[in-house]
Order: sequence, then C-alpha cells, then structure tokens
Amino acid sequence: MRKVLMGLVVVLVGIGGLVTLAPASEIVIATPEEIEGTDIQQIEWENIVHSLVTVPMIRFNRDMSAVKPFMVSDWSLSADGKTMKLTIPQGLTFSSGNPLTAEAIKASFDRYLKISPYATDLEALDKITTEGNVLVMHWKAPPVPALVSLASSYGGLVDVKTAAKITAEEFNRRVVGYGPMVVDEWVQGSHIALKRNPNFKSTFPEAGNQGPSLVDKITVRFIPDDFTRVTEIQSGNVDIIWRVPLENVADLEADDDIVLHSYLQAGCVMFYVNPEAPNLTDVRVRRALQKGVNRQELVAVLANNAQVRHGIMSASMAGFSQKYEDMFAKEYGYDFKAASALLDQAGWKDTNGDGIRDKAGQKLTITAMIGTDYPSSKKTAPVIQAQYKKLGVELKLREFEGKYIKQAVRDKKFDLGARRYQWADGDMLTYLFHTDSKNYAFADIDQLVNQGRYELDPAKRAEIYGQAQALVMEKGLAIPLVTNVNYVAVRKNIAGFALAADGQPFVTDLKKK
Amino acid sequence: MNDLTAYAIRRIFQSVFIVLAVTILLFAIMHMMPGDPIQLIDSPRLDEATTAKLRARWGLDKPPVVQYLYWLLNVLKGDLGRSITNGQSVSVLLAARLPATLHITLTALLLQYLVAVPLGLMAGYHQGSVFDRLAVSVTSVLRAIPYFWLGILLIIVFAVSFRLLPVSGYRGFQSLILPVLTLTLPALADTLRLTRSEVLEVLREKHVTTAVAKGLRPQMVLLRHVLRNALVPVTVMFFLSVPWLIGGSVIVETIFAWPGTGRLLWKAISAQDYPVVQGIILLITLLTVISTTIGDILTGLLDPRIRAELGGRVA
Repeated sequence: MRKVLMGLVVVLVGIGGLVTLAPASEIVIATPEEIEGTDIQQIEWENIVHSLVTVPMIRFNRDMSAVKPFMVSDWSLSADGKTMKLTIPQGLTFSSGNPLTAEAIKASFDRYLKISPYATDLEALDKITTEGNVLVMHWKAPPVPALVSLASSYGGLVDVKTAAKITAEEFNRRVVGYGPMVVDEWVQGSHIALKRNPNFKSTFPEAGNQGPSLVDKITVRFIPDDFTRVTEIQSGNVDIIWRVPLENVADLEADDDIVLHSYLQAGCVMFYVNPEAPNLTDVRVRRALQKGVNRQELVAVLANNAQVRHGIMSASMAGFSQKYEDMFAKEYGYDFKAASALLDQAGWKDTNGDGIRDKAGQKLTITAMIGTDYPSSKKTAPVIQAQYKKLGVELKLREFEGKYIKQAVRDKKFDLGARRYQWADGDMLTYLFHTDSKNYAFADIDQLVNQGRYELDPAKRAEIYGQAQALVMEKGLAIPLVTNVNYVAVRKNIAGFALAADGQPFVTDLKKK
Repeated sequence: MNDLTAYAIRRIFQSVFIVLAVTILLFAIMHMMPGDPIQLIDSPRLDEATTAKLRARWGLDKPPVVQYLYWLLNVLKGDLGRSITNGQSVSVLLAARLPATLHITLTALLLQYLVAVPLGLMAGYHQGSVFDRLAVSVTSVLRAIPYFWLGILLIIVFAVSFRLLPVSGYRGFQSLILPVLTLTLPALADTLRLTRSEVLEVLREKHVTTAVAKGLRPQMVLLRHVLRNALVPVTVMFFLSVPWLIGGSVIVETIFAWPGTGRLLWKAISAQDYPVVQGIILLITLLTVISTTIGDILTGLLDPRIRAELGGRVA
C-alpha cells in the first residue's frame, strides 16, 4: 500500500516539476492573521511585517525598563516632560532613496495625526519643529502613553513624498518606509515577500547587528489554521510561527529542532460585569463572583500557560504595581466561604434545594458571553461555570465573537462579558473603564485614569493606576481571571530572534545559521 | 425571433430582478446584525470620537436605504466600492483572490465530473457487479468524511509522512494537489450516484431495448442512447455548481492557507465589511443566473423533449 501511495505521489510530483526550495538566506515566518495593509498609519492592527518595514525612532529595551534610540542617534525628554528632542543621523534614506531627515519625519508624523485611527495617542502633542537634524516634539503634557505608541510599530516612519505621488490604497499595498526590509510582493491572502534594505542602520544599543539585515529575504505567510501552522514548522517549511496553540506547546517544547520563546500577555483575560443587570445590581453579588473564582484551577486547565490575575494589569505593562496586585489577591482572591457569605447577606439562598440560590422566586442565573476567538476563555469558562455552581450560581455560557461582546458591553446588553486585551501601558484603563470608552461611567475612575495618563514619575503612576484598579474592583465592574503566556516557535537553525517583555519582536539580528 | 432567443431575453429581464432582490435582501440581513464594521474593529485603543469619524467616512451614519442606493449607483458605474476594513478596492481584492479560488474549484469540479461520470456510467451499466458495489461503497464512505478531517489526513500522509507535497500554500502545481483532492473526493459520490441512477432509469427505456434488439453493439448503446440521456440532469447539476466556484471553500482554503474568495467572504462577513460581502455575493448571483440559463439552454439542446417544452412555454 505504501509503495502504491508513494508511486502515486511521485507521478503527481513529476507532473508538477521539482519542489521549490527557499534560498539559504530566506527566513519564512507564519502568522495566523493577514495584514490589513503595509502602511502602519492606515491600519488598526500591526504585526511582524510592520516591525520589518517601518521601524520607530525609539524602542523599549527587552525588559521594558527604558526607552532607547532605535534609529535616532540620541533622544531626550526635558525635566518637565514637555520637550522631546530626537537627533537624526546624517545620510539616511527611505527605501525609495528619498532622504530621511528631521523634516521628512515631521511630515510622517503630520500624516499620522491626519489619517491614523490612533492619532489620539498623540493628543498631548502641541507641535513638531525641526532644528537642523534634530526633531523637536513639543507636548502640552508629558507624553507618557504616547511614548508607548512612539516606541511601538505604530511609531514607524513612512516616506510621505512617495505617499503623495500614489493613491492611499497603492501606498497601503506597498509602503515605502525605513526598516531592515522592503516590501517586494504581497500576494493577498497568501504571503508577503520582503527583501533586504541595504541602506538600513539601527542605533539600538541592545542590537548585535546595527547594519542591514543579515538575511536577503523574509517571507511572511498567512496561515490561519493552527494545525497547518504547527505542521509547517515541524516539517521545516517555516522557520518561525506566531501564536502557538496551547495544545501544541508541550509537543513543540519536546521537539529537538524547535525553541519556544514566551512572553507574558501585556494585559489580562477578564469578565466585564454589568452592574445594571437584574441579578447583579447588588455589589455583594458582584463581589461574591470575584471571590468565587479559583484562578489556580483556570491556570491548571491552561496547562500552566497562564498566570493568575487578581487586578486588571499584568507585570509586563508600564504602570503595573505588584503591591496592588498582592492587595487584590488578598481582597478578591478565591474564598469560597466569604463568597457564600456575601450571597447569603444579599438575600440569595437555596430555598428549594435544587442547588441554585434564589430570591423572591427568582433564580440566581447569570449569562456569560464567551469569545469564540478567545481560546483561553473558551477553555476556562466551563471550569468557572462548575465553580459558580458549587456556590449556588447558575452560569449560562453563550459564545460570541469578541467583537460582538465588545458591542454588547457598550450597549449594556450583558451580564458577564469576556474581554481580552494586549497593550503595554496602564493607559489601557482609559479604553476599558473611562467614561469615554462607553463601557462604564464613573467620575472617580475617570479622574484617576486622567491623572495617570500624564504622570511622569513611574512610582506615582503605578500608585495612581493601582488606585484606579482598586475602584474598579471595589465597584465589582470586572472579574480578572488570568494573564496568558504566549508562545512563538522558532527553528533552531534561526539565530538572533528575541522578544521584548510585551512580545514585540527584535529583528535586526535575525539570521539563518 | 425563434423561441429559444425569446426565452433567453425573458430570462435576462427576470435575472435583473433576481439580482436586485438578492442584493436588497443581503443588504437588509447585513444591517440587521448588531453593530457595524467600525464598531466591530476590535481594537482597545479606538476611542468613540475616532469611531464616529470613521463611520462618517464610510457613510455608515446614513440610513441603510441611502447606503444601498449609493452602493447600487456605484455598481452601475462599475465601482464595487472599497473594503471598510482595509480601504482596498473590492474589485482589486476580488481580482487578487479569484484566480486562486478558480484554480482549486475549477480543477476539483472538472476532476469530479471526469472521474464520477464514467464510473457512474459503468456502475449503472454493470448494476450489482463487484465494481458497482465497490464504487458506490467507496464514494459513500468518502462522502461521509468531513472536509477538514480529510484535509488533515491528506497532509499527514502526503506532506508529513512521505514529505512529497507541500503542507500548505499557494505555490505552483504541487500545492494544488492536496486541496483539490480534499474538495473532489467527498464530492465524487453525489455525481457518481446521480449518473448511476440516471443510467439505470434510461436502461429501462423502450428506445434502449429497441436499440439492443436491433443488434447495436453494447458500447454504441451505452454512448449514443444511454449516456446522452443520462447526462441531462448531470449537466444541470454541473451548471448549478458553477456559481459556487467563486464562492470557494472556507474550510479547505483555511486548512491549506489558500488565498481564495471563500476566506475573504468569511472574513468580510465576520467583520461586517458590507462592500466586500456585497461584491462577492453580487458576483455569485450573476453567475447563478447566467449558468442556470446556459444550463437550461444546453439541456434543451441535449434533449429534444425539453427543447420542445421550452419552445412551448415561450409560445
């Protein structure tokens, strides 16, 4: 039988010609999602492609403790945090050949403010001026959250002169920017081929290679299916895969040809709680739900690829406070007796012996909206359901796409709504709990979140965000669950791959052994 | 004007109304879904003011009727609009994806008919034989296998164990083999069984008995009298399959990372990207109308009884 199958395949292969082999200096990367476009200023989501074709001026170092120059020779922020100076090295050019000067960077940011959906990240920016080869950014308030944006792929530089010559659509298909690679060809739905930019120079102090890329070509393939992505790296057809499925972590760890790189999600997986939902208006019930989740069991279900989370922020976020996380663990950590007592006090008791608490003929039934696209939520939801059942709470699980849950939360049409987020700064609380988010409206939370946004002192900032989270928890607006550990699998013949603490890749040292 | 021409003209007029009805229905269904494409951009950092600006930019702040009329007017001018999620022109997106989809769907469809029709013919002619029983049993088993399972099985056997074919991707003939087999194998059963049952029915017809009694060779009877008649419903089925050629197959395209319209449509529906969904469905509807009309005309040409019926209807 084996011979017959072999024979059949040999014939088919014979018809098609020889297998196409990648050149030695080509690296193939697989990501589950296709890019929306190549122009970082026109899109909502970035991925590895943007880190390769449009780099920012500055970046966080690997442990996220400091911001370092990435392509500028020097940068500084004045004591009052209102003047940022960035020195542009002489002789740099975009991949089009157009000079990359302070003026060209100013034009890039002017365009960002005009067209990017994330222009509000720079809302504190007053104006940009240039002094020779120095770019000066004048801020109305210290640019604390803006720094995260500037130091991420969203701060990537594009060649506005080229953009002006073609349509926005064309520029989005083939961006001209400054990065170690240049867009060669984008086959929609399949892959994007990038070629080496021989004129690239980096100033990042942690980079082993500050010159042009060490590979000639990088192909980023879009492989949505988990099985296929994992099979491709195991077969050696792909060198790096993003978003390793949890069920394959152990297999890939045991594979002698593959190394797993992990990073802690900059954020958490949690439930939004609707304080206006009929069975949740009493804060004691909401508190009981917070204390009724045994998060260790959730981590066990996720094969230990997660961390228990008692607050909203995780350790890989700027503004995180361990002191507050410990406090939340004590105050809102798993405590079955305390959770039962709170429900008793709220008048919910099991009067008919069916295992579910009731009050005035009404059962304590709550519906949780689970994200079909949140793998860890799907895995942990039945465990939470069982834990709540012991508490006498009937939890109904309904699956929706994460986007619908987001909308349902805004429309207040939910009891519990699963939420997962990833952003390396505490300013994320603005988008989760500030009145502007339309999710909740509490003046005291708004005040703290606004304050944290422009606080330069890291310790003070962590304290402010700790207090803001304390208010969220006290009001019972969220049930933090876990922070995921995410994995990137890399074949051992690839050297120089590194991730920052928040999962952003470093690509300047990337090469094939 | 002969009957067939009049019939074709009538079908064209009917088609315009069908296409309009489908697009209106689709537009209504899409707008009945909660949220809109901008609200569904699942980005944590998109604030309400920006969301409102984006909605206005895409005309989503206007009533659905106005949005539909704008879309229709643009379509009449040959502009299918732009994708709300990535700003690219729908025509460009379709042009980029259609060739890949047609590669697998067209190859799979042709392979399906080229294999299943002769097998069905032989199985029907030799009813009850070992060949008949084997063909029916094997194709029935294949029919019962889900696409995703078959695709994974083929990858494990041919790409992982024997390492002879690529696991996935859209790079030349070799990458075409596994997705085409995944699409073709389960579909063989339907065509084979339809051909077989038609052959059995035709074999019982008097004109076939007469042909055999006249001493015609079995091959002649089979080709000239049986196959020609048995092919009528098979032809109809073939043309009904044509519109879905551009719809692609989401499952197969996902497993094999194939850049087709199936994945594009699925992604557009989940993102409520109205222009992309409308563009693809418009194309499918047009193809449905055209292919069923061609199918009707061809069956008329194959079968004089149907031709007479068509003529009678027009007259």
